[in-house]
Amino acid sequence: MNMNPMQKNKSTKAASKLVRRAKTKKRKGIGANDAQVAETSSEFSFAIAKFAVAQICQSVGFKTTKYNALEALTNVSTRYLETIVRSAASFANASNRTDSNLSDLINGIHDLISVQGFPGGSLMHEGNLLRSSALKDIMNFADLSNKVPFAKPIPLRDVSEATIDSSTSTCFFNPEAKTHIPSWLPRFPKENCDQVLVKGRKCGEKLWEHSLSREENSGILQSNGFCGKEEKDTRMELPKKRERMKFKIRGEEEHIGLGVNMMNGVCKGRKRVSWNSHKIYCMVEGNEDGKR
Amino acid sequence: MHEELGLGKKGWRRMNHNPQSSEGRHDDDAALSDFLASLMDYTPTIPDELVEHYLAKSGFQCPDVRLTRLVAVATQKFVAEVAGDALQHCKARQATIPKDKRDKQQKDKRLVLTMEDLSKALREYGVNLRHQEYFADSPSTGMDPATRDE
Repeated sequence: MNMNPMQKNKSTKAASKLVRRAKTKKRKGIGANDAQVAETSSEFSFAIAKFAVAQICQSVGFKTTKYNALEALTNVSTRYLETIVRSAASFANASNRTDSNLSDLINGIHDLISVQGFPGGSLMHEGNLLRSSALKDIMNFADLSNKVPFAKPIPLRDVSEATIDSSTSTCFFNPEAKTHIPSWLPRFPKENCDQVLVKGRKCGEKLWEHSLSREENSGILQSNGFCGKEEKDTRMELPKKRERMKFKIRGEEEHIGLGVNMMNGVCKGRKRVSWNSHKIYCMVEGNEDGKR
Repeated sequence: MHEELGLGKKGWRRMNHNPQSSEGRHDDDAALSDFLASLMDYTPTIPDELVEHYLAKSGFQCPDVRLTRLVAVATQKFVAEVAGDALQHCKARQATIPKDKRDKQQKDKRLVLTMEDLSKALREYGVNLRHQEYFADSPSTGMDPATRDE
């Protein structure tokens, strides 16, 4: 019974095999050797949360747990986490901010913890937010309780990704690789994006067409190509290789041959496909074929 | 400290009017910043990556890792409290059973988290948990044979 180490990227929708450890005995007939496959990312994160909740139960004193009880408790705890965080985000948005801070989080915690009450709850809205007794309870809990690290090995984050801001003494990581951007697109420019745009405006449209006509590899999707002549020679390294394609759009010119401006259209390999509103023409390099 | 926390324009200005000694406030702020710094050493049971997944899912945006840890610790505290209450219910139920010592020892070794104890514990936290006692194959399962329709 072994489990794949938890991946940093949880947004993968590929099925990941998750074999349950015999940490908590199950009484409902699901054997410890059965492999459970998490098919969605939410199932995957739920399964990992089950691990953590089972560990917390064990640290409290339970020896075993029923399967559905563990699932219910995991469900409740994940919803609890989401609710705190969601209310903190809404507090931040109500204050014209997109980034939440400590005060928002404390308000979110107050919202949820006021159900069962905590000492000093009546003074919740009067005193200093940073001196809330709910926060002090959490501090005491962290101080007094035993550390229960997660049972499975977690691959360490790359240390170079963490940057510590000395002025505010906050520690934050660079945002993760944006996985919604396809890998065959060129990477974002490393320099400040504002500078890139300014250069583009100063150069004007002419330079952009120049760069298009001279570029041998894939045209319009380049972002660095139109800034300065010195960058024309440097081929941009793409994360993923893609096949060559030429694409040009030009204005109305004199009609050539078939009544269709053959310079409009897509050229792939030795074939050029052009169109107007009525017909689609195909021209192979060296010959002219008309197709309807 | 205000700039660090990014208080909004309508932020908490009452502390300026508080005539109490500023030393007490400094101690609290120092304790808070110490705690936040110690959070980086304390490893919550819930992994950071898992918490960040739920943060992203709910729209919480913050570059500060310490707040992520704080959320993890708060959730861990909640779960520990619920589990602790369920444990108390379980032990109380075992204590009321008037059996001889051998049976009690056998039951003491098996502290099991059941849905019954969990629902009792969660009720105090505002969560109503109900579960099916049993599932039957048909509506007439378990009924008296004389009353069954055949």
